[in-house]
Amino acid sequence: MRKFLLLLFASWLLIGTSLAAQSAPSTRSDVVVQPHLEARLLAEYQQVTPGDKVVIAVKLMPEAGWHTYWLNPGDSGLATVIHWDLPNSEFIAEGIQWPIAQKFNIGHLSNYGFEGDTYLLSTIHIPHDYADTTLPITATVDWLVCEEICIPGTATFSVELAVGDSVLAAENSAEFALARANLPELASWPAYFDIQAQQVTILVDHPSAAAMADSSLYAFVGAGELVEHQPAGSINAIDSQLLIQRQLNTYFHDMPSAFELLLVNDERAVQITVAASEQGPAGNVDTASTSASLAWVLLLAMAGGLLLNLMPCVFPVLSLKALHLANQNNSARADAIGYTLGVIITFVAIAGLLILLRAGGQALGWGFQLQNPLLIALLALLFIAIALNLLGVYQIGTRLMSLGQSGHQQNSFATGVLAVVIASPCTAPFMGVALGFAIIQPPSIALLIFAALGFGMALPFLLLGFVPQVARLLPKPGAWMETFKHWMALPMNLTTVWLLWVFGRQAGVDSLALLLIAAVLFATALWCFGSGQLKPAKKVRQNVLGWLLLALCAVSLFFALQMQQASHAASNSQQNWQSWSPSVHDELQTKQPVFVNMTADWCITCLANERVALETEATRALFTEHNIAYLKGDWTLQNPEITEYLGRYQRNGVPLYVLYWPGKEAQVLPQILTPALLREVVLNASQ
Amino acid sequence: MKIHFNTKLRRTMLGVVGAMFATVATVAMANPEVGEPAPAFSVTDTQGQVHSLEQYNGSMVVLEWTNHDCPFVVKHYATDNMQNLQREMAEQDVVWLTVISSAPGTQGHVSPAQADELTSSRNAAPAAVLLDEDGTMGRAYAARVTPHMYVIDGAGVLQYAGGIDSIPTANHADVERADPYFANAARAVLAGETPERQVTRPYGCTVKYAD
Repeated sequence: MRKFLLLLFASWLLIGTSLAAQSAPSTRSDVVVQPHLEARLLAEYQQVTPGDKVVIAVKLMPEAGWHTYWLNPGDSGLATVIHWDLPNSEFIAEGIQWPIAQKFNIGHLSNYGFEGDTYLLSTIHIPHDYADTTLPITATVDWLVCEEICIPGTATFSVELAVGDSVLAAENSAEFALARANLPELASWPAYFDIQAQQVTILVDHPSAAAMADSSLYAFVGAGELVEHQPAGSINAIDSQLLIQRQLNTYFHDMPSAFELLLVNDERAVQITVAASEQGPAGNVDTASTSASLAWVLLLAMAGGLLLNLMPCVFPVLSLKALHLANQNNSARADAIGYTLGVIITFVAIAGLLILLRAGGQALGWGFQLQNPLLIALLALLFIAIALNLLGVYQIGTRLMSLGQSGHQQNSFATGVLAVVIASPCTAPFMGVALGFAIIQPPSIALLIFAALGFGMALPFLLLGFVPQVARLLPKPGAWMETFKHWMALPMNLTTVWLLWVFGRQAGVDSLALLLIAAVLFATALWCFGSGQLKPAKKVRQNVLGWLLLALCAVSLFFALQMQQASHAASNSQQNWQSWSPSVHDELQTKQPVFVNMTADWCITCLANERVALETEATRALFTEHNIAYLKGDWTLQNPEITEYLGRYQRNGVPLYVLYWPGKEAQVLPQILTPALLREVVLNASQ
Repeated sequence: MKIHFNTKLRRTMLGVVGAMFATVATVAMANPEVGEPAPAFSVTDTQGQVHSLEQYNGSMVVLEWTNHDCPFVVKHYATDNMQNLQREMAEQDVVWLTVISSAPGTQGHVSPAQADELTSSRNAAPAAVLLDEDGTMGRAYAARVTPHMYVIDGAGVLQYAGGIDSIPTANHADVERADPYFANAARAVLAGETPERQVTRPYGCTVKYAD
């Protein structure tokens, strides 16, 4: 009997509650009252659409002076946790959108959390096929509310929404507006961190972040046990980068792969994600996005190659080529293929060389082949030869002049090679994106990109060769071609001027004068050969004279390059540092104090040290004053020579700073540098 | 050659002096490090006995910071987790010292009689309950929260510092689900091994130090 009554009571209760559940939908749960904190659940919409999403707020109302906790509670405390109870597993509840946190200092410890009314917003995705007429949403919330002492609490609340066209819950709109006003801005500023020598260094690479650096800025690190929370650490803004250095937490154990960082100053509050810098910013071009964007980058490279045809440094060679095509229509296809192959193979060859040299640790950029004065000087002479040929000073027939002129396929190939060599300096500014991308890619992809560049550049000529309609647009050969040839000498000569200017910039005015003498002798030699061609009787004499002049030209060229080396070395001194290599290091160490900085692009600590301590005016002056040679080794691509050097100091990573003072033992500096520390070390060494 | 030897000797001397200085600095500094000698202490227990680290030379010592009103401490006493660990350690001749660093007038501060009453009512089994009212010992160990656990081996070297387990909640049901970091470390030290994790996150209520 008693059992029966109990059962009756239970079923009555059950009916009662289910009736209550079926009563009018409610966007506001009842308020749960617990010690020192009241809480309720609020929905932004009273009626929701399947396939849509709805934002739900957990409203925490602690007593005055009491607080709950942020995603990282700090040294003690506990972040609030929400467990969702949703109709089925198709529902997805996103994580909490945390409001702007406050820092609470308790003795030597710090906590992060919220005082006063606090709204924790979560977005819930409703599946497309949700067919019910109402949507019950239940949340169980666990919190810890603290003043001096802490009280854990837990409560379960529900809201029930109607299903249909979306209708806002007007009764909650003021509270949702309040909740949103208290959220930090979300930004996708690139940010990385690393840990060295018990210090966490965070780099935020964005001008807006740098602009936030003032005395009121505090960085809330959203990772437990990563940094010590009480000491604010140091904050530096340099150019467009914000550098935050914090002491590593005593209880640090696992390196997070990423964490949320909340930057708060008097003006704004911004939340970003900081990634571990193990692969570094370069490696951050992850494989997923690489495969997706590779096609796009290849297309971009092709378009860039196409544009190259309009560059002033390419145009003269191409005008020659066009002239030639207009001249001979019969072998157009073979020519076009030869030219295309020439262009593509040269692009790939230069890129391959670049990759090889970079792997060897040389800091080279695209167009490096034009950093070699000898090559520039020879190119200048080549263009003089082409111009004089076009002007009719001497006739086609020698091997030199056949470049870009003769009808054979291999010569079309040679024109392609020439076009690329000349074009390469123009690519750097215009192809920044594709080149920047290519350099950090695995070699196979980098080479593919350069091949696409070459293909784009050769494309107009492929069209001329393979689409007769296009070729027919070119004018018919005739007497006008002689005049045209003479006119084409103009861009050739202008190119020579440009090459001479480049040479002058590198080698100085003395070397340039010698090169100009060589150029005059060279032109005269060509005239001698040319007049010999016209008057067969004088041919031998003129040829001897020509070769003599050529020899003199070579001597002058030799001295031009000799002079250049002297001025080249002199011009180096205006740079604060030189690239490290074992030979340079050994040579300098015998003469003067040497400071070695082993660094890598992906090493945030290295970058921070360079910005804060090494590449500052004070340090520059310090190094100059004590005649210290500053050598910088780039380990970005793990140069084996540097790896070996690091090994000598029992290191397997960067940064490494070593000061060599004549007559003293090498001194390894700490991994975290400050200007004051550098000064002290140098002054001690110099005594 | 002679010059070289002298430089080397000087560097060695400097190194020794530096190491000595570093040891002194560690003792004076707030954060004790695992693998280093544990900070010395000398504190009176509820019976009026003075306990120091030196007197336990040769024995493994466990330090447990507590505050009986802290919900995180309650979690481990209400579930008998703490008492079971105390008994397990006592059986292996480990010296378990419960430390109360709450200042007078703050949560967790108790008189010697109250402390003994708590021990018997909770059926706890520490070797002694130390009353560190002025927080000297707590600060020497940089004890942050209750419960904050430390393991010191027989040679006086700190082997573990951190939380009691892996789930930082006040929910009693989590005790069973958690990785028992402290128990693992203590058992490893008893077995003569270095614990797999020597530092973990200490979670709980902040220690109520005198300002």
